[in-house]
Amino acid sequence: MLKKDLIELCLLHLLSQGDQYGYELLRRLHDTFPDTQESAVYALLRGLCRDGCSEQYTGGASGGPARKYYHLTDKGLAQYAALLKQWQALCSALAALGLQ
Amino acid sequence: MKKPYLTRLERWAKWMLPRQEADDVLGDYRDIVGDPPRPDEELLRDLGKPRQVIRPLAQKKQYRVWLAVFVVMAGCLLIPGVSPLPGGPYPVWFSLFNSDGFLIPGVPMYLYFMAVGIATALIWFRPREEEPKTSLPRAVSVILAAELVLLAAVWWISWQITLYPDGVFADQAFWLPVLVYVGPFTYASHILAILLEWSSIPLMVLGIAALIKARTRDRRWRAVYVMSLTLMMMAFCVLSVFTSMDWTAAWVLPLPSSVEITVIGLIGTGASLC
Repeated sequence: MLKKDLIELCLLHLLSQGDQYGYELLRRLHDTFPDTQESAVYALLRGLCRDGCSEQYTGGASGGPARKYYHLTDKGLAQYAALLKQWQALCSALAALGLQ
Repeated sequence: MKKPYLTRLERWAKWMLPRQEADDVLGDYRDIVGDPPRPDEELLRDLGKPRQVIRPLAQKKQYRVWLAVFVVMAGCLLIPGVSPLPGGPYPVWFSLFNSDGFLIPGVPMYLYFMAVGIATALIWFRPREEEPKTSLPRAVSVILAAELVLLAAVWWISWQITLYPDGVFADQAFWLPVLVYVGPFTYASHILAILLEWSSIPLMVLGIAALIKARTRDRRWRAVYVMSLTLMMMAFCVLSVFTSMDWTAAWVLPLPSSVEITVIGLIGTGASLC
């Protein structure tokens, strides 16, 4: 599992908890992976939209400009489940080696 | 001086991405960059260089199609443009106004370059339904006006050659002392030939710059590309008379070709402004 897949998993995980404001999503992931540029996370987020794993819509913000929100689709949920399974398999393999 | 980060990002986005997607991405990046924007050094560190930011967002196939289209349009300007220059492809120059035809008998090569270049520019940069109506960029109007004046000047020379076709211009051509033809070219006519020959350099630069602007700014910049191509062909049409080894056969060339080039060019330019 590559780091890219790991970040994608995190994006899908956050989206599975509810619709998210795009910029906030990027900030949170940048805080978690500080050595990864925000632009790389953004490219992954757009890739998810292009592949139909997430959808974007514009929602209002109180007193501010309209914000873009991201919503997980059924395809995204399936992708999330597949990546999660890979991640858990990797964790089990590492644990079997004694690496916790 | 380096342009602000967002400006450079906008240029790369509009160059590499389809217009709709570029606008979408730029909207997102205005959010990411913040208001007021973070300092450029910070943006370079957090996001990377503008080209690196946009590159992963571009779909390879779409981008390659655009590059191929750009190469075709640029080729229609550059290949004939360098053909009369020292070291240029002589077969192209030879066939440019040779009515023996290159692929189709009776169809000189300049018509292929003009047809492909203009048609590609009109089709690729066609208006989109969702496009907001804006006024024509001032620079486009100014450049087109200047090119029209130059076109009229070349036309006038072409017209005079047709009016006074006899090998020796000197007696009749008091109105155009540069067109004195007495065996070998006179010094003055030689200067005019050189001017016509090298006019292709600024026209090629202008045409390519117009294509880039049509992609990244306003698609109506394509009119400048079409007009540059037209003007270059007109200059070459007259130049072909100057450089022809068969003077008596060469003089019949300018008028019909000038009419063809001008009509195609003006229709193409007009359509490009729509």
